[in-house]
Amino acid sequence: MGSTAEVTVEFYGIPRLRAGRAQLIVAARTLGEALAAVERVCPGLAGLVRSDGRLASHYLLSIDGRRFTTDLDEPLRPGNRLLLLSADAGG
Amino acid sequence: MFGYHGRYLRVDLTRGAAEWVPLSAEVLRRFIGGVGLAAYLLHRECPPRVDPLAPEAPLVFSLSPLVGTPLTTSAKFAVAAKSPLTERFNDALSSSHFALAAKRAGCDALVVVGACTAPSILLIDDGRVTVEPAADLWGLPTDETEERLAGRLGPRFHAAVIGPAGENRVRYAIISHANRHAGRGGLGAVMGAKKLKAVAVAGTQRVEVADPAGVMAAARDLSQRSFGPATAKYRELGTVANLLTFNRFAALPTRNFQQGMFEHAAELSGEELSAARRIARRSCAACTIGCEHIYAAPSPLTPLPRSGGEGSKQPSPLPPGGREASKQLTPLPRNRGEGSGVRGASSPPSLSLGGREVEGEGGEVRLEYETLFALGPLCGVGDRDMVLRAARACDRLGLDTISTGATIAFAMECAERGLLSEPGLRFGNSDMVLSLIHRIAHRQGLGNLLAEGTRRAAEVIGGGSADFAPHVKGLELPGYEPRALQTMALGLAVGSRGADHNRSGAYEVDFSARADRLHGSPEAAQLAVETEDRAALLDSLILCKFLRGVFEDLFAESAALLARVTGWDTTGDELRTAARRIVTAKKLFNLREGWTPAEDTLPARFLSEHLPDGASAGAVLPRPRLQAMIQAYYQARGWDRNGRVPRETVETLHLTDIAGVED
Repeated sequence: MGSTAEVTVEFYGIPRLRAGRAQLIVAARTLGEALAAVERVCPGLAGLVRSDGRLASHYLLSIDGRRFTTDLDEPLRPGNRLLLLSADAGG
Repeated sequence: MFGYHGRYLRVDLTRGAAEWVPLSAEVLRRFIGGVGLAAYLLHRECPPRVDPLAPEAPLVFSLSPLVGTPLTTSAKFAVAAKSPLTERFNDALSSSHFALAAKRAGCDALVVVGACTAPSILLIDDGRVTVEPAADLWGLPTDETEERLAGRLGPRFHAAVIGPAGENRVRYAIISHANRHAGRGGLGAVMGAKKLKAVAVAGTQRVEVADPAGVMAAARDLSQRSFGPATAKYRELGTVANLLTFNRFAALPTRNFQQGMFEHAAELSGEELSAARRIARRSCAACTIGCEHIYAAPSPLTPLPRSGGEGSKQPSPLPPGGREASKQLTPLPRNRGEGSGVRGASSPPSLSLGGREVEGEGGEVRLEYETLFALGPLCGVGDRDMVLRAARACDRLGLDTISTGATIAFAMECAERGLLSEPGLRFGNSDMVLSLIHRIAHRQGLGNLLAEGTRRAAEVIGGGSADFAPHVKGLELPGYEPRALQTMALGLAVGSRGADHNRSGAYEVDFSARADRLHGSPEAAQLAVETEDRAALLDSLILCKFLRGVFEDLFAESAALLARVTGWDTTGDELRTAARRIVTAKKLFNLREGWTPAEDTLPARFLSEHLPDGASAGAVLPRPRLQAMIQAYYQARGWDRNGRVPRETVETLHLTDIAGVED
């Protein structure tokens, strides 16, 4: 397991409503750990990570806005920005 | 027959005749309803190579087997015609009580051909057809037209209407019902060319379903699921929530697609709009989602704010004496078109404030992301009140907000490049946006050119402007930056009605881990096809696309719904094939009308200019990459390398009766 990284989680759409904030800085080694930290700080986002360890189907997660991922074991690097948004991204 | 009347009503306005035409169960099962049935009927009713605005060009209103059932979001109707904007197949959807009343009127579809000699309304009451004069309505905005008709006809009738833009044959005029719009491709111009101000329907003929208890149980289940997280965005924020998200991904078309981010995105965001201007949330008839977020557009009788973009630096063309001196009621500009001689005495006043023509009053307006992006960032306008006012003006005048915003943005870039001369025509000048909206609807001055859409305008303007005219097949692009969403770029390029976000949902692929949104690939073509097939099914059933997230397996679950309504032993595989059939039927129509492979592309800008900003910085979609994706798409569709439909595919999809088979 890698070392802990400080990353910023940005919230868009429904996640922002549920979180009650635009962003949150957390320390985590993996995406899964980062989202667990989000759930602890933002109770409105409870259920973000399902009991089977996967991202809930009505959310999407992007790393730095460049690519999307569903692999919550992915290690984080310092300065990463995680974008959490509604799955129904379109109109 | 369950779920259907088994017939359509054909009205010939020129001959003053109406007839019922049978629809067999075999045809209905192949094409389902909605857009699918409309595609079949256009093949049958539309003379090849017809001028879309000629009397003989048909206008089709198509219902579906689910209309009138308690299934949530099923109160919808499709409208289809050969588009005056693209001269290709065009369909658009709207919803609510018109759909319910039209089905009760006794038909599965209404086909209108011919034209009236004077402004008229078409009344269909339980199958009885009459045409009444409408000179008193000609010139009225859409909402006032519906109000007048409600007063005249009573609450049994529900009307689909056009505004002044449709009367004046603006090539992207809409058809409206209860502030919901069959918006794209100029269907309102087709109706206006027939001198039809409104189609009003009423009836009492209910269609039986095969399994009433089963339908009721399915309706309860679907409604319950519609309250869940899959529809939360639509319910709680509306599609305007997309704006901030797209901006973050640098996928927000800005200043005529020159940028993917807008510096005023935060002020225009759904979150800010909701906090500052939202006044209500509403639903279509028979809908449990409630996606319609209503905002307050400020009255122009109060002092107007300055525009928020760089246009605020531009001096407005104030007349001598300034704003106060010019505040006076002036008559609307006379129509250039045929409607000019018949406008009623009750035409709404236009107010001249500081040299600008603005709508006569503020009020409430429904706002969606597409309207917000097109009248805001695309035109460089960051003032939310001016965007709200512009949106309301488009709705009332009967203009497609996407094509309106895109055409104005295109004109702004032309002016900044010295290709057009019009004082104040610059990105960010929200006063100019409002002024042009009115001039387009009335085909006045520069508005007359812009009423033709970007493709035709570029042909007149020249100077290389076709390279940045934002359209595919003549239809202006929606709010998805193709270089930042490259699977969606494929969907936009190959769409039968042109650049379209409602017939291809390929942006869902880009917003996923299944594809690299900045490097489109042939492998993503199959995924794009699947989004088109899902859209074709939803548009034919008809169910709202905002419901799509509640289905685990759309095809299998839809088959179960359809079986309960029709009594057919429909399967998911059958509906998957039906969806592919409907997509190919639309392509066959385009082939018949002269489609060539060169039409399946994007404007040169997207293939050569790099996006400058943010999370999509450097993105471009080189032509060879797009071509490889298009080839993969054709292959996945069973079409040949030239995008034509081979006999084998026609036969496999059971389309021989409508196909001009291409070998």
